[in-house]
Amino acid sequence: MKFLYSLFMGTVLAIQSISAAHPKFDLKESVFEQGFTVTGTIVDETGVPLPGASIIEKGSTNGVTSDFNGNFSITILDKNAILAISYIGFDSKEVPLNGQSTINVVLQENATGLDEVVLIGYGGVKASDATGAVSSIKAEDFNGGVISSPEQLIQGKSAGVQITSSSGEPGSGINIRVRGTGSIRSGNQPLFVIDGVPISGDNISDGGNVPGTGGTAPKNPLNFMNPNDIASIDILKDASATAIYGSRGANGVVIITTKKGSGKGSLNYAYSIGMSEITKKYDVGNAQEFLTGYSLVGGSDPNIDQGAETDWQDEILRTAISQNHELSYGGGNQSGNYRFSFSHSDQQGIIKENGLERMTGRFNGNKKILNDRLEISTQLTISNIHDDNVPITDSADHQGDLLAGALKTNPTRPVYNPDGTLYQPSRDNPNPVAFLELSRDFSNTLKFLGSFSADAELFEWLSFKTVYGIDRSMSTRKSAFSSELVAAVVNAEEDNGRAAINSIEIDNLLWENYFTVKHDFKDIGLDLNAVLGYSYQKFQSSGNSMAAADFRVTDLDLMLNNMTAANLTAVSNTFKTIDELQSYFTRINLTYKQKYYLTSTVRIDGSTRFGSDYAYGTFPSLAFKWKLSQEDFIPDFFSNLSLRAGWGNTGNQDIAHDLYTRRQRYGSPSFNVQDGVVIPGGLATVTFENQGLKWEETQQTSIGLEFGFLDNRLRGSIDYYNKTTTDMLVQLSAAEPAPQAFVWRNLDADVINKGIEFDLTYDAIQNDDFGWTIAGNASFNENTVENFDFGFLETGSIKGQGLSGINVERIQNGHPLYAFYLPSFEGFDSDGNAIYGDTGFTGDKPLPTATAALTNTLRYKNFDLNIFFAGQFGHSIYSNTANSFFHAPAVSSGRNAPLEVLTGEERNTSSVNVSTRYLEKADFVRLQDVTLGYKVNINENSPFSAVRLSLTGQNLFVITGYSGQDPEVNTNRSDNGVPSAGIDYTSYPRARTFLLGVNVSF
Amino acid sequence: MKILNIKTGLFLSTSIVASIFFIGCTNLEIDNVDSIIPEEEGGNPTEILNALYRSFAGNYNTYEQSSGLQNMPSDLMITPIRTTGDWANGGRFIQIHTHEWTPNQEDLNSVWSRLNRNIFNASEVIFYGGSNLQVAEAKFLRAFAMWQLLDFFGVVPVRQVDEPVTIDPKVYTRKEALQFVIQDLNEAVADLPSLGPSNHDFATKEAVYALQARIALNKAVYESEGPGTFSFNVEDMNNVIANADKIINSGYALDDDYFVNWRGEGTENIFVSIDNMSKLWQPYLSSNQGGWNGFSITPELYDLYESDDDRLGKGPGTSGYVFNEADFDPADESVLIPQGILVGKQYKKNGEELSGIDYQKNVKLLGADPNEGFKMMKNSPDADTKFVFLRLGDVVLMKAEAILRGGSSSDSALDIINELRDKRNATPLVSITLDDILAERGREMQWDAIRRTDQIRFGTFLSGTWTEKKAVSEDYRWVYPIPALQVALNPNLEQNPGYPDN
Repeated sequence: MKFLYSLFMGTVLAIQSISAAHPKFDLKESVFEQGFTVTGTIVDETGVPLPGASIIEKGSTNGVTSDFNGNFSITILDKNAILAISYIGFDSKEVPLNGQSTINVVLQENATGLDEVVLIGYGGVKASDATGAVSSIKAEDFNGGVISSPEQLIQGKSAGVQITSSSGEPGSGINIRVRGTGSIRSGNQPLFVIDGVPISGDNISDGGNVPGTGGTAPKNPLNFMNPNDIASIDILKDASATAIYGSRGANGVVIITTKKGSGKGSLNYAYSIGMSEITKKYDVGNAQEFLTGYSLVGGSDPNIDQGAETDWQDEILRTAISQNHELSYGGGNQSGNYRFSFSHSDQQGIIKENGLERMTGRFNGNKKILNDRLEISTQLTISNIHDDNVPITDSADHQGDLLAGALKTNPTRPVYNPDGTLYQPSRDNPNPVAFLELSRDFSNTLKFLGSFSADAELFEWLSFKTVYGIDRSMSTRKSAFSSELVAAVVNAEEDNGRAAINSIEIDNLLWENYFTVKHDFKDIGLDLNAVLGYSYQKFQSSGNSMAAADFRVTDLDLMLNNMTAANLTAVSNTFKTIDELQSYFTRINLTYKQKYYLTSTVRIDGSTRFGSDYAYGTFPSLAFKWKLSQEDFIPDFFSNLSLRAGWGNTGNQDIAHDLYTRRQRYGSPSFNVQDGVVIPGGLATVTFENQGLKWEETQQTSIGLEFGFLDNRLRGSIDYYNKTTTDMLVQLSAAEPAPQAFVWRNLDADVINKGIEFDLTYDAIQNDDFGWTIAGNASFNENTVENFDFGFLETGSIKGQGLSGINVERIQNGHPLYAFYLPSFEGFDSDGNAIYGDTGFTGDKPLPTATAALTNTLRYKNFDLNIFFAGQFGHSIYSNTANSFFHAPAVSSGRNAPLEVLTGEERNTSSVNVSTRYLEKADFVRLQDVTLGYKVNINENSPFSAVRLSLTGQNLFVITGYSGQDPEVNTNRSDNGVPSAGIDYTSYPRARTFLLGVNVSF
Repeated sequence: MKILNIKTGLFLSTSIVASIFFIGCTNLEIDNVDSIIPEEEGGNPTEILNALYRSFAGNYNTYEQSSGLQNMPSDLMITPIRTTGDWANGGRFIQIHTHEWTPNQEDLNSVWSRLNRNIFNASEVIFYGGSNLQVAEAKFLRAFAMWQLLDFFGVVPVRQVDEPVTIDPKVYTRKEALQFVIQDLNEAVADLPSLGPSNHDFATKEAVYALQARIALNKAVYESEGPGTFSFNVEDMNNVIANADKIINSGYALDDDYFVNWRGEGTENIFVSIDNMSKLWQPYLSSNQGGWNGFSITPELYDLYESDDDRLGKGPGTSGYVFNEADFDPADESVLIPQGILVGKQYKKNGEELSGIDYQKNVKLLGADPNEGFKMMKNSPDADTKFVFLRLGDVVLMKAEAILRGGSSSDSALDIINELRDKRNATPLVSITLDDILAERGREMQWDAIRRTDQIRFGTFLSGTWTEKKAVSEDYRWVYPIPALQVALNPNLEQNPGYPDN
């Protein structure tokens, strides 16, 4: 049979060559008129047609491609032939015809990822050709559950990328650290590039303030994206990859690509409903336990028992319901595609009144014109976000914020008086329910992100692309605190209520132009791919705020919408800053014989963040890859074996506007409610200029090994990196006397991050009915400060009664960043007084030294199951919450505490202090996500083309030794601009969520 | 449409390239649209001076900061850790009370920064061409801040207004700084007004005289190489007396109501704070009233007074008060906040006792019940309340002391003291020694942010012991250490002898 086949092949080839020589000779009709015609459709797993898929009769050159609707028709000679079907990004499939004349083929998306294109900035490369450490995470691998921002989608998915949300609040800020923490200031986030537009890391909404209670953290600026619009997220980890973004590449680059339409137009509707509840309440005393504890520790107020039994945590918590609707329509073919989407998401927080509501509209479209020589494309997102905030702050004093109130309020206090009014006996311990009912705090944010580009193919080897991007947002936060609320400041003797309105407007634009050169010098086996370009970005930020005090009304709506009902009103201030960034960049990729790959980039960045002498920085990189598996001496059981090495120098300019000019501004006014006057703000110097301020630089060397065995069923990579950050930009105290307390300087010290990353995936079982893939990653990072002879910088400023002004973390030579420095706790003496030992480094650190994640993906017929564990290890957490509220002196002041305090040895004569008593190991393993999906079989006559049901459990459990609510937390307790890490202070609690979803395509 | 030919392509590409570099290039010069650049637009001496009056007062608007560094280590104040957990603050108030401060004590750094900023801002008023009057005011404030700085730390760093961040401030010794202060005051006086007693919150000739008297009185201390016996010279003492007389002769007079001074009224105040001192009022009387529950007076201060002394206060809640219904208004449920030293029970304005409050004289440093220690309430929030920088009561006592220390005057020290004591409803003294002056200064200027300076001059600061200050202090503690952070920031600064670097 085989022999016959090849004989026949020879004939076909001969005829084909004849046909090429004689174009008028009609091959099909004259030779194959007796052949069979086979028709069919090629679709992906979700039923979306695949246009342009290639269908080849196996062993021949006879082939066709599918049309826009995924349909094809092929004429063959052998009715038992095998059709080989392939499509870029999907696993190829061979279908024996066995006499059928109609076949429908479902292609699975390529799991090995080797042929996928990963984006590397200003273009993409095949994953197997990438010379840098790049992780590409596709939509199907994203985390499930209630997701409010894109980072959550990839939490734990890539080795060396540590993603920590600062609290459990919907939309709370998220810290991402790629290969460790290198900077000593807030600018440690990677650069986000959405569809080619680099997004500035500025907050787009106001951080807000609760009068008398402290500041609230700003929300995540990426909340504006509908996670379902995202097709893939690529993370550039090493400097050789990020250097193309030069000055902003030091902390890694995250490239977000949105979905495009494909195939014939298809309509997709997705709905999900989720239910969330707190994972773990604090075990504080009930009424009886509190009263017993109160007298035990030495409390003496005879009126301590107020007679009620209130669980204050229950009073502010709820079962939160979240819903998400999404409608999208898209289609496309080789000459263009389009996709519209609309989503509405309403995410309730587990604390009453709190939530995040978002509407997004999105359009993606592109079209090739002029005989495919010019491609124009547009990506637009418009997003409207409504945040309902609750008074949970990062800097509450002993009166506490809402959360502290729920933990420490005397449980014998009733919520309401018998007459139904709120029971509010004391401004020192505000009634948490009153805090919720008598305040209103929300922000509305409108965000528009658009990019418009044209890509012209000038010659076969040269194309030119121009991109114009707009990133604009307007956000207003309004808050009102009624004078009926008995709490500090709000109703001090004559201080009748407070209200504030703060607006921030961001207006950034981008214009980028670059040439791409592609040429294959076939005769010498050299492939060239180069980029040369120019980029200009302008960042404008402006804002205004108003404040009012001493209201004649108590109605919250009126306080906000008729603000002059206050006796004192003031413009708090206005601001506007403009900055620019101008860059020239080039990248050359050379490939020799598909074995040796060389990438070199240079970016020259000019930034207005530095004075004219230091405005420009040059950031080069070099990387090399050797595909060993292409060498003859490597045995065949390696389906892939490649060695990568790279070096790069990247920069950081994430500092405030113009720190090199001495500038003065008028300060904000203050209210003196007692005297009924607004005291105007004085003129003050806001910058002590440093004209020598220059780029912070990070040099990174990395080596990586990629491997695949068993036809790539077992594949992975090992990476080692060494990252040294120098000339760190840091805000230091000024040597007095000075026009300003602080000055920005380049700190003469090195922060070194060294680490190893492992990624391993194994397709344990892959057959038609059953599939099981295990994917794991682990990373280890060691962080040290070296060559730092300044002494030390303090941070981790602890808040609370008797604790103000105490710091627990230091940056000092020879220690990891933010190393804990505090007195040891030695237990209690016989009188119940705490014994504190020496103050010093405890050897504990707040930054994890290891992270790991494990994903199991199972598929059985129509079912699929995804189980995802993630963990962080080696770090510690300082509970400011416990330090501030959970000790005998606090109990003896009439505040509730956990049982171990209420029944413990400590007495109220004990001194409150920071100590290792409140320092705990923070290692944890979290069952982050379990998703069970079911693909419903679709009848041919059904109006649906695909239906999928899913059930997700999010944050099902956490294994940890930490006694607080959740170990994944980061309350900002910075000191003089030096950020802190690993401190938990009245953080918004984390929820466990169950989510039911349905996805229907028409 | 036809395929782009090479010619068109080339044309397109070159024109695009040209346009990028022609249009796109920015010179990276930005407009500052929301701030003033003093170098280009000139400073604003009027605004800077106004802000300086406020920020200078901020050194004394709590019982921490400069005020704390004067009162807390003295024999008049104690700030214990309470059983409510308050005022522990890593033991930083305890350290000051027991004279065990280190160069990392954080109050030292903030006091250093603030006083230096005041000095710098005053220099800006001069640098940016203020009027003669503004320059004189700035020199007075600069002298005041620099006096406080040299008094605390012994050295004073100096930076010119236009010096960049790369220049490390040079350092004046105590004597150099003292000469600078004296010169500023001498230059300031001519352009300042003399307006008689009216609670001025700005610089006047009399304010300069009062500060000159204070500096002359302490000059021997500042010129000495260490603590011990200071040699007060006659010229300085006569200088004190001359300055005091200039004030006395310009209409200032002691008031019958001692506490009127902290309400910003009366005829004694020479220089007061520009704003009301909302944070100076204390103590904490009820949870709905606020206040501070930390600072208490030492039993030693209370024991300095005779029982009828007006300076103990007169109203409900103060020493020796006998309950009298006439003092109350049954309709008013708010908390009554008297002026004076608060002892025992405290009241609402309707006469009802405040629950849980009963102040006791004795007080310990660790684990003190909130009721331990009598409280000082000079600045009641029930009235406008000022911090008093310079006051006639201080001036007359300086004059008496200068006479006792060898200055010549037609007045006798005993008469001066007894005139003051008479106004305060205290019995006259029959004789007078320097110890009596120190005691009278304690009674008259309790918590007025001068006690540490006084005790050093009288030699009781280091060698003395009082409640919870049980040991004699090391000699080097006659000045505070330079904040460790500042030693690290400025290579020209050398840590004061005796102290470790951090």
